[in-house]
Amino acid sequence: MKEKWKKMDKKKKKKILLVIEFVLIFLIIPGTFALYKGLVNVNVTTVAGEMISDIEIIQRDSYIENNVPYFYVVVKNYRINGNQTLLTATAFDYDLVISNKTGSNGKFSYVDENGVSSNGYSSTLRIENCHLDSNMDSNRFKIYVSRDGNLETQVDYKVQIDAVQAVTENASSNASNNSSN
Amino acid sequence: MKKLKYILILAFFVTFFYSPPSSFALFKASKYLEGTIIVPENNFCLNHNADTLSDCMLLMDQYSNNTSTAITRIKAKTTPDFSKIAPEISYRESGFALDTTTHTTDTSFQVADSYTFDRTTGKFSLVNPYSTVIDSNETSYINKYACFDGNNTSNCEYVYSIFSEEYVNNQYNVTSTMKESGIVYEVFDTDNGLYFAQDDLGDSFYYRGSVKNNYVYYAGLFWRIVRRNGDGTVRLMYYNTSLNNGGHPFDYRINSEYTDPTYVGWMYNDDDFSTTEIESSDAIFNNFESRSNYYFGKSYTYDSNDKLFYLTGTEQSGDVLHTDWKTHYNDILDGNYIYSCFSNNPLSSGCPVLIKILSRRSSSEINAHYLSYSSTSYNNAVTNDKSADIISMLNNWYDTYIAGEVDNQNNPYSDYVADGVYCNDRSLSSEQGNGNGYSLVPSTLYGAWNRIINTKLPILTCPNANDRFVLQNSTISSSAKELTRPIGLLTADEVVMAGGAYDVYNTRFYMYYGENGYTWTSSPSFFSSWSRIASLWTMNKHGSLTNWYNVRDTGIIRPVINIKSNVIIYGGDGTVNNPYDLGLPS
Repeated sequence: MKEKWKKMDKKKKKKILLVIEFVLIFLIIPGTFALYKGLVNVNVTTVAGEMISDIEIIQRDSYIENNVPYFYVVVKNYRINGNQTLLTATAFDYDLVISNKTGSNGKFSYVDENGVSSNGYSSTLRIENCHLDSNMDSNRFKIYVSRDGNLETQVDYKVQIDAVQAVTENASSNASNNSSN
Repeated sequence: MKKLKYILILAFFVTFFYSPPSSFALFKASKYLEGTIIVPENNFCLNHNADTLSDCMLLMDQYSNNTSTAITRIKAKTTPDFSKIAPEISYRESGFALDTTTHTTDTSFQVADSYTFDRTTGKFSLVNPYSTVIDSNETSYINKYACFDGNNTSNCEYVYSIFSEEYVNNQYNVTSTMKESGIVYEVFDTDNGLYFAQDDLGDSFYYRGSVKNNYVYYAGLFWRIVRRNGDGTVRLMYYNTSLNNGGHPFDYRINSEYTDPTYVGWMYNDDDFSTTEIESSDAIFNNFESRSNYYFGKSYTYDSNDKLFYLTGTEQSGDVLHTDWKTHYNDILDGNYIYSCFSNNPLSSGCPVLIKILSRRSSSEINAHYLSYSSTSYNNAVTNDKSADIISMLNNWYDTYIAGEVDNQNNPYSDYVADGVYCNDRSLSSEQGNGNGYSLVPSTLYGAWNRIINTKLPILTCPNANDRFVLQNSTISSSAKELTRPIGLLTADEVVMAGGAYDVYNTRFYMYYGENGYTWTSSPSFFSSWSRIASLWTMNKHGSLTNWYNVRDTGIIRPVINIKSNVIIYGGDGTVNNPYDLGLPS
């Protein structure tokens, strides 16, 4: 094989190298990353199945607490499809970012189901280092909305989830009991 | 072609090194959702034609556009579970942090390989703890868990993971640990806001939980709204002269007299006391030691000064026998020595309740009646004849701080105040064997006792008309028109509905001020036959209701008044930085 390569024409060698590079760049490496925008559901095909990291916003007129309106963000690792419940094939870590859409000027704070809360309000709220494993589960976050000034204000917000497959199944969770074994 | 080759090579390397090798096995996803939410203006009530405090508090619960909608929404809420405090709390682990406190011991202590955490108490317990061995082998206990709380291995406030250790001169030193504690937090979606219940005047809407939007500024003082009454007036509880922290204007007792059930009353009657043989109490009496020598007499007297019964006569005169029941019951009964205190105290000590022996049941049991010097009937005991001491103190405070002050339009602040029902619930608890509310024996438990301890069903209605205290010129029907000033105290039921509970700490609901002492309510709890003490419900310094505080003891007084339904708000939204500011309608 080595001898054959040595004797090969230079032009032919170049062509073979180019083909190899094409294969590497366009077929193998990009499979690690996928970006979806504007869809209700988020899933990526993993080696064994889907990583499901769905989010949902629940907002009602009655959601007022001590004069402050709020809504819920729910992150789920499952999806109900008619009679079928699809469960994520893999655990994942995720961050949530609540921010204003262009032209909006709201402020956000949050509390989660374990009483972890933000320190006051901010115009971009980051909830980091969250986790869901592959047992059917969801995390809820209560997002309070405020504004500067005294006037009635419409706040247009955006809730973004960035999820990544967890390295280990038992990564620390923001909703777990940490008793040792 | 050469250029294309170089571009591809560059692209290959960028892609390869930008995505580290591990990402070949990880999947990522990112997406977003959008929404819109309205944050109402600060002057929401005024902009929605709700310029009275009575209406505004309803609208602000859920930013309703009108009172009708507000009421519908509030009534739609699920009735709270009063067996739980509000806000409901839970605990989570704080996470371990380095602690360099040294723990030194030359004796063994308890460690474990694991622990559990109780989310309801915030306490830690070691799993299968075992004793350390402090000896020359210098056994290591790194990464073992301990409480370092004496010999305690359960319900520990902290848990420690041994991080570093040393043996020095036969002593074992834990030189540093990773320490963890429990962090308390309010349970997600716990009760908070306005809820509905009926009171004696109609539909009432009360605040419950860690409410933060019920502050009012009125008469130069700060108050907290307790509820909107059924007639639209608004019940306020004193907060303080400033918003820094909750407080109270004075401490006082309910009554100086306490040795009779009548003294649980806001008003009472002790003019018709006489010796009453309590025939309903012909219980089998066995609360005595049949071999002990007691005094038995043929007759007795009652001293109204010290409120004690005394056997008349002496042993020498033959009117009194000093003997035991077991061996001399025949002598006692045949000689008609049927009165006794069954006490080991000397004859001269007397007793508050006398035993009248009816017959022998056994060597250690007697059929007997109690003799009690007290009211002759329940109705007499609850007759509103004399005022408890607290009433004059509340009246004085009202005259000084409310009626004696004017607003910036020169209107007396008393013009803002409405008549209202102040309940002093002397109804009897339905428990079997309960006292009758006028005799000293057996103990009497009052209505709030059963509601707060047993059924966990508090009420805003006042069961008996005679206990519904209102102004003397009141138009409220079926009430006790006795008050000269429209001021009173909270009821124990109102405390429970606000989020408190019997014997359960609650330092997060809006009625908790963190004060050291017992805060009086107007609700009778029980009369103890054993100690002869009349008690009303109080809230202690931990925010829990207690039932044993003597009416004669000094407690915290937090006045309660009712604001007229047409009192307007100049501004404010009820929050601590912007309390409702009141005014009279023009």
